[in-house]
Amino acid sequence: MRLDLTFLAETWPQLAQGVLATLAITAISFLGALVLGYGLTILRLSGRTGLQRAGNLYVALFRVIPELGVIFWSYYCLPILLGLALSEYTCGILALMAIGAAYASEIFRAGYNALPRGQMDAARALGLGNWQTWRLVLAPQILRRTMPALINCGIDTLKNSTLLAAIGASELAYQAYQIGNATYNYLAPFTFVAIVFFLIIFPLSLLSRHREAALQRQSR
Amino acid sequence: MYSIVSDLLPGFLTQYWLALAFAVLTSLKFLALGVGVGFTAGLGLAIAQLSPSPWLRGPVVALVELIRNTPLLVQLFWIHFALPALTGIGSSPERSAAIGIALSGACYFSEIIRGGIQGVPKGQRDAAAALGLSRWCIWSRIVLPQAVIDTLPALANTVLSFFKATSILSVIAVPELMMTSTRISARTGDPIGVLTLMTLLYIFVGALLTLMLHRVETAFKLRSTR
Repeated sequence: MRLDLTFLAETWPQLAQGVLATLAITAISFLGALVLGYGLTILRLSGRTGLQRAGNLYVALFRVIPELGVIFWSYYCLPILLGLALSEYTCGILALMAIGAAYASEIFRAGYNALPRGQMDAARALGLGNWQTWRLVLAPQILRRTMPALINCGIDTLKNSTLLAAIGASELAYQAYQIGNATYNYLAPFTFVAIVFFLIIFPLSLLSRHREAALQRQSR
Repeated sequence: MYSIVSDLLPGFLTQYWLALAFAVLTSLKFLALGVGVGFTAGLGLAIAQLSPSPWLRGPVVALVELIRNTPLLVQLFWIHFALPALTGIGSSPERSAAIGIALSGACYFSEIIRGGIQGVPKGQRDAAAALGLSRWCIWSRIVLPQAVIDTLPALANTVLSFFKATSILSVIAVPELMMTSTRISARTGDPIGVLTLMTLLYIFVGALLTLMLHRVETAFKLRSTR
């Protein structure tokens, strides 16, 4: 059997929809994860024991539970617990956000802890206020230091978005599976999907490695 | 309000505990396969990645990048549904899962070990060669042990992430913990009880693994500093 690309002529609307859905799910989940992760980091650095423990427990839990487990739990249990009808997209995105937040929080916290203590004092000595210290001195440095890790976190969110196929969200992998089922030709759609993912993820991971190498050079 | 406690204990647990225990063992079986085969093959791939010959290095680097830069779910789908069309040999979920997780393990471990090898000072290899040690001896007794010990935390992390990844095998119907739990949940109509218990099982086994890996790590560190 050879790789027949004529299937693209008939199924491209479905595949294009899959690509768009995958990108949309990833973008929304990742942005949500960054915002949630930011809030979580503030809790964990707040210095209040109760909040700190709750934040740390959240991160520890979501790092050990399999992503698919969170997604299934969200899909089957959230609608019952909340008494709401939630779509597979909503449940899936909420799960991806919750997982991503734990990882993003770890990254932000590491970035904050890596800042030299003198930065805060120096900013204070210069008469900068809280907000100015944060916006002009701390935040840019944290962002630069954590950029490679944040890119990897985005890549993981993209990879995890394929797991929403398991709850029937019609993202790219699910569409390929549907096309395969309908045409009995699995080779072409799955090869196409693998190539699409590689073409998105590989440049991102090169970018992450490049940023990482640049940071290493600077710190030396 | 849904009462989790009253539904969690009786009912499905008395009926399905054996199925759940087997499911956990199946998850661990595939973890052992991914880590065992993956680590062993990863050692070889790591050396090949650093080979001076582009004919050896090129394909290995390409394979490692391909696997690390595509989602495992897509790889499993490809191996399970597309590969049989290419080879003409039918596959079972277990066989596809074994191929998928071992391949993925090999590539992720290879990348970590490669980093470890590059962290071992070049002088070590030169010194060993000057002492007249054979190439096999240089790699197996000097370079690889140091590369592995230096990267133990990253290796332990990868083992843990592969434990989580075994859940993805459920998408091609391997009866591991995730698959078994969703089946029990569908049969009993009690997703909250079953899936919460499943989550707790993953946390429990994951915590045990973390503890074990930590012990291995400290044991190796002690041995290497002695």
